[in-house]
Amino acid sequence: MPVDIGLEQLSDNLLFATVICYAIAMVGYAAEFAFGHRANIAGRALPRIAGGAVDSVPATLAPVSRSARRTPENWATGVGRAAVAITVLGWVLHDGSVVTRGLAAHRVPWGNMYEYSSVICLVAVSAYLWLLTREPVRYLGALVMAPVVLGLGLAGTVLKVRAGPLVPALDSYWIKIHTTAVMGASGIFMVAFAASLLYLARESAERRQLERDGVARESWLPSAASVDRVAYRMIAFGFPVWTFGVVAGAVWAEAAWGRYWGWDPKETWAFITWVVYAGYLHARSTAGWKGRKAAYIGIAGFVSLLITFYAVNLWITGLHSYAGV
Amino acid sequence: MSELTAKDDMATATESLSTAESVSGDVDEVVVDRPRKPGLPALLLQGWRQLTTMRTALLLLFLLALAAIPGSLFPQRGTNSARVNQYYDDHAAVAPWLDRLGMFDVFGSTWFYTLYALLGVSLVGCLVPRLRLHARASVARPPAPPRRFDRLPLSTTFRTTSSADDVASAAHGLLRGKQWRSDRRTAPDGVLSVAAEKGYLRETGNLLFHVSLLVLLAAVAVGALLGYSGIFSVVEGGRPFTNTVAAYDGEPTFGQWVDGSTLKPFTLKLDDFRAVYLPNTQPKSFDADVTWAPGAGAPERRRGIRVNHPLAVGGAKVYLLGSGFAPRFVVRDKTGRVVSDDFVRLLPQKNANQYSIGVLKVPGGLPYDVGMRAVFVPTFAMGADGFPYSSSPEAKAPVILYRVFTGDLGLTRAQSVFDFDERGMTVAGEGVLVPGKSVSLPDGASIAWEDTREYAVFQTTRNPGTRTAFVACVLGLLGLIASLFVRRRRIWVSATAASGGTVVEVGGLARHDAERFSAEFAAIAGELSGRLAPPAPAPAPAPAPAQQPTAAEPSAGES
Ligand code: HEM
Repeated sequence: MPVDIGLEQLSDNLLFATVICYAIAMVGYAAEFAFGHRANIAGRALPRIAGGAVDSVPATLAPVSRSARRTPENWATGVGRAAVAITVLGWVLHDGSVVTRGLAAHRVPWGNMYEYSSVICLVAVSAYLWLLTREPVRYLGALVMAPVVLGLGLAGTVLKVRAGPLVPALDSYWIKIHTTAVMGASGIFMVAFAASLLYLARESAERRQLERDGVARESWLPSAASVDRVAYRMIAFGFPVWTFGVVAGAVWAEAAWGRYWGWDPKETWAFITWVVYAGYLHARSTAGWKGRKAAYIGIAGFVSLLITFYAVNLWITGLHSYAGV
Repeated sequence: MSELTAKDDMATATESLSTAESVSGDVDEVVVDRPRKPGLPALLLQGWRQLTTMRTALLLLFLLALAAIPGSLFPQRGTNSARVNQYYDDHAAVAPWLDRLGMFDVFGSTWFYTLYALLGVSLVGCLVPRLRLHARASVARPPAPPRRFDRLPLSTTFRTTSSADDVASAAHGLLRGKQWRSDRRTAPDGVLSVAAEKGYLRETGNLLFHVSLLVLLAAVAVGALLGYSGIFSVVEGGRPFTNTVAAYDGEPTFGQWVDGSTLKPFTLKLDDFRAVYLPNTQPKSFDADVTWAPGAGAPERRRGIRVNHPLAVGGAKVYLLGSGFAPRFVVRDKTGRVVSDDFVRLLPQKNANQYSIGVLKVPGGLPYDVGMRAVFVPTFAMGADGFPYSSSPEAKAPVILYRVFTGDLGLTRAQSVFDFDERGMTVAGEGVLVPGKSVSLPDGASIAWEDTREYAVFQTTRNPGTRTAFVACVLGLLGLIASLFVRRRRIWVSATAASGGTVVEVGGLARHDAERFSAEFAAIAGELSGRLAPPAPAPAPAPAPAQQPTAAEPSAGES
């Protein structure tokens, strides 16, 4: 069946509108982040473990803080809320773009780098919005939107290809399972990455405050511990999904090339990424590795993921570059 | 964790809530204390303990990840030996050094295997005690309550007019009803209590995951030792392939414990090969129709082999890897006698629409050897740069650009089928050939291009560890999910008779997701107080479900 040019064009336009929405939302989140109320909230001190990072929010704080935490609002709070609305709008357009792309090509809309990038970003935004329905994580907005805008921008320029059917090697039902899982995990890890970055920033801020004032106080920004928990939860959720994706990939490789694992560069980097995230999970339960060190490992995991996705396809060739059969 | 365990009255409560941590060596107090012996045994013991700590496992994991990186940056013999040779040509100075370090065969190198093996050993050393502890914990009674509940991360106290016995029964029944493992006991001082625990599946899952990982490591090793794989190609309607070492293109790769005698006998003919391309030249499908027989004389069967749809023969599988063009050249001497008539396989160049190169070698039948280099252009087009290229991967306007040599091919030296050695040869002509035309040699001999067919490239692979590896992956994944999402937690209830009723204390401890546990704890404590008689009106405070502890002491370990 020929590609539906009209739908393909519609998909492109929708993606363009999506990027604009996300970019505006990013600026909004950043504004709230920068100008949101920095006043201390009732001067409540954050608990700490001697010498280390705040390990987990004690039960005392978590339920209380949500209700009792009446953050003083200012104009920036409104901007933050508007940013969420614009993100939701962008998300709807983004869904439309992915769906029309699939309809245009008469297949699942993830068969090449351009489409992968778009879907990963869609998962990341979805994960962020989902989190937002359960926890006040608006502070993560700018850090989630930045890589999303970058990723979509890169997709729309460098990686852009016309819609078309899949190359034969990709035309398998395992590939759909494999890519779905791997992209899902990647989008989730992207949110974890944003949370880890914010954790590092919050942790230093709290430590500085502690040194200066003797106590770390709550600000409208989240405590380092709660951001850390978001990062952990995202990675703990993404890790089995990634594992499943890698296993599905191995099943597919077995069907396509006769070996389930061949240390092709793509496979090698998927393995490295897996090992780094496994390292993160271990670090979290190892004394002396919690806190900053674990966060660095989480960030390294995402860097490794980026290499798996982009660097391997663009600079390192292997079977996965689909140049031929 | 260590802070909490240090407090003696907490020791029982938190003991082995994670068996993992208590054997991983991170909590020194809990590590089994053996008397120190001097000398080598002590050193070995210490080395063993060090190797099986979680910290070492972490380090080994990272080293493994680091060690894999060069494997993705340098060409690897296993996957692409031609690129290794290319690398040798391009970087003559450093290549031998890199080779010595194993950079062209990272995943088969000693140091990679060493890391792999150390991780395996560390895993075994870490698993055995954990399996033992977990087995014991799975049948043991939940640990007795701590002496002071207010030291627990979650605790609450209320009064009731129900008797202590009723309180214990109600708590026991409530927790059992919620699938907790609950245990009723009476302390020597007569205080009744209930200890309950839930979420053993977490540790079970974690152990299942790590054991599966070990099985996977073993399955991969078995595959590497007992497997083989080789590449062969067959021309449409051409000579059939028989599964012997000599029939492969180059030597098949065999695992350390197997050789050519393990090859399963079979023959395979290529009846038809169809490559379908889209108008934009992107490949759409490749289909190979084959006739095969499991051994000489066995009945023949017909089948299609496609990408992603291999043919299973015995324990091996035959995959379609690729295809190319094979023009038929008929070589005649000056009298017109045919001295050679064969299909010559040409090698498609990457991303070039099946623009292919190869050589024809005629080592006998003429007074001299003939070698011809051929560039096959399936759909001839002239580029703006003055070089010919192929505008389509289909043979719509095929043309061969040739350069023919005569002299001595030097076939006593080992050579590739896609190349020859020009040292003993001189150029005898060059030009462009279209189908049906011939090249004339100076003495009147000729090379005619008579026909063009396609050939298919197949790979035979046998990997005996595959099924085990797959099962290990599935089990490991299930274990992983349990290990990450099941929460292990404990609740204690104690009932002390007091004037006018009973004082009920409820305490809780969770190592994971303290926030969710605090909600669950509040619900259970509330439900318990609801099942009991209300307190006597006067002095007692109202039942306060899940009153939070005053000391903001963080719960131990993971959130
Ligand atoms: C390729 C190797 C490995 C991978 C991918 C891996 C992965 C994991 C994962 C995903 C967890 C769950 C973490 C959590 O509960 O949050 C875990 C826990 C654990 N791993 Fe590994 N592991 C590996 C090797 C090892 C080795 C060699 C050891 C032993 C020395 C080990 C010891 C442990 C322990 C003790 C835990 C339990 C931590 C806890 O529950 O607090 N692991 N591992």
